[in-house]
Amino acid sequence: MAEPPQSALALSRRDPQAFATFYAEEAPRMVVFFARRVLDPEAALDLTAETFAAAFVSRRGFRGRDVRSARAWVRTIAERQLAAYLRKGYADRAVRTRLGVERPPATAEELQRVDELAALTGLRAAVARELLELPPGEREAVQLRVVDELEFGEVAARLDITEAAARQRVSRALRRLAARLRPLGEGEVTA
Amino acid sequence: MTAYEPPVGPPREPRIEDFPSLEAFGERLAAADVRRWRRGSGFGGPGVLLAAFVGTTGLALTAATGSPVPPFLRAEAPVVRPAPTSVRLSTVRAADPAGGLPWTVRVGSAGDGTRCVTVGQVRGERLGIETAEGRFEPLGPTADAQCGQIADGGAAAHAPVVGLRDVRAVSGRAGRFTVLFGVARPGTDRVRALLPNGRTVVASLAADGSFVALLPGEPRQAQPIVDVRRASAGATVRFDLARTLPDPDPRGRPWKLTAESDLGRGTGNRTVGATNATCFRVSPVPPFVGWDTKMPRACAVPRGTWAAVTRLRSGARGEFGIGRLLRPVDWAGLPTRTLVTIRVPGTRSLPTVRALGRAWALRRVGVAHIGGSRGDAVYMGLLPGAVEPADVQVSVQRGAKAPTAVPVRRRDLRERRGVRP
Repeated sequence: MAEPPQSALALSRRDPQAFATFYAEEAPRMVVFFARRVLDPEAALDLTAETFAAAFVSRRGFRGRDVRSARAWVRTIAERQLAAYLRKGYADRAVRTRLGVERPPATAEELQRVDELAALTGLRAAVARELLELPPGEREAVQLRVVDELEFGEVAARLDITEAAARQRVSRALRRLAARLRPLGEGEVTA
Repeated sequence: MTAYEPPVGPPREPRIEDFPSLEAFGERLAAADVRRWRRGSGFGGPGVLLAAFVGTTGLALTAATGSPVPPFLRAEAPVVRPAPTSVRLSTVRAADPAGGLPWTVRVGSAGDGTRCVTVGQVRGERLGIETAEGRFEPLGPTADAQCGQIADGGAAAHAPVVGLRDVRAVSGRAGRFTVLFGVARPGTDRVRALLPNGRTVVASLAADGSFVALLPGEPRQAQPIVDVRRASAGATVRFDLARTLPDPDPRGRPWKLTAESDLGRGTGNRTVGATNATCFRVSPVPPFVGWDTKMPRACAVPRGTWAAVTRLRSGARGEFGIGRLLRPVDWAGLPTRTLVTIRVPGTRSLPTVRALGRAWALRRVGVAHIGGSRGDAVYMGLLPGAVEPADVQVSVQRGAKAPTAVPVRRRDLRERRGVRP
């Protein structure tokens, strides 16, 4: 059986220019991946840039060969970037800063295109609708954490529960939202 | 709310040409000198970088669930936060009226002369908030910081970063009071709050200019006028928080929403909550340098009942306007927020704003008598950056006996982005 073709990422271990090919193929899907999770075109572009900057400097650590494993590898970096974004509220720029490479500002047209390609308008409406369907306690917890952007400590204080309970409540509510939105074709994006 | 309609047919596969900024970034990235980066790296290269990522998975559960609802929807880069290494606990203390831990502030800097201040209670050397159950919730080094520039020269020479915090809202305890806190320039020798009942409260003040005081009642009852005196400069700056109570921001940064005549500054015509107002403005408290000319203003607002909703993204520059005039706006390093401006007939109609399943209270910033109109109320408010304009629903109560909520027509805020004011 023929071996699958070598991915551009694998080639880029020795040839940095090959990374440009990998980037051109994968970055657009990554924008959609991020946009549907953060619902913010600008943040999605920033997260994509930082993810590929991290992938670029780490590419020699990629041990795979084919396209499938390359996608999985960069997806792992992306999920870690996303986790950092969720924790801090803004996209990291550490790797870009170290590299001295910046992404030019996006135009309104580019942001609109992200919105369209990720179908964010409908997604936002669906999220808002499903929020209303959550049990009141969970809805309040999500609103305090997500909409009001409070720390978990303050969410707990407002709800008069422990911080651990607040984390659990928010997490449970988000899982419930994800489950409700998935049948609508939301919540999962294949990269 | 309309039901979600999944896109018809498979979505088009995105291409790199769809994203010019990313395309340019890719070209720069491929040309980057990685070896130089590795040599100059203070943290040991990619292996360590990936190891550092592992430490960020505390909230990865949310990402792993595939939930499209992010814990933080805002895009606030660049976020104004104090550098973690710069924060220091102030020596000022104010006794808690309910017998809890004393109140103090933590001061830090965010570069470019920006000072940051966080209020809280102190236990040992840690800053936090004591909950209603008596638990101490520590505040991280950059948590809840309010930042502003305390610049040399001009009217902002002694302007402090000042804020009010409603304690009941924080801790849930029964006794309600307000913490006045902030940081002024070093050399400030008195910070004093004048209360509506004539009482004066002098704040505890440290040499670095940080201060804290406890005032009775919630902020809207306390209504302090704050005097900040710097005797060596022979000047006192007064913050009339009684007349322009800051509106609490979702993240704690207070804002000021004011109405004013458009006859020019410095002529004594600026009024708050005024009749005959022609402009309505939103600005942060404390004022950033240059805030007064670059914050959003709605001038010569058109007649009728309408709502304008726009998202002011961090770093946005351009011209925005409602009605005839476009006004320059420089949102600079301020956090992303969604600005709602509503005009409703008369002064008794009360608009309701809903977004993401939550109702938002807007302040009436003034009454418009423009072009001989009868005097309509203008409301403004800032919603979190998480709220997209499309999410915002505005209604107004109609009918005296059995009021019903009637949707308000939306107007688009005209804008020309990218124009440097």
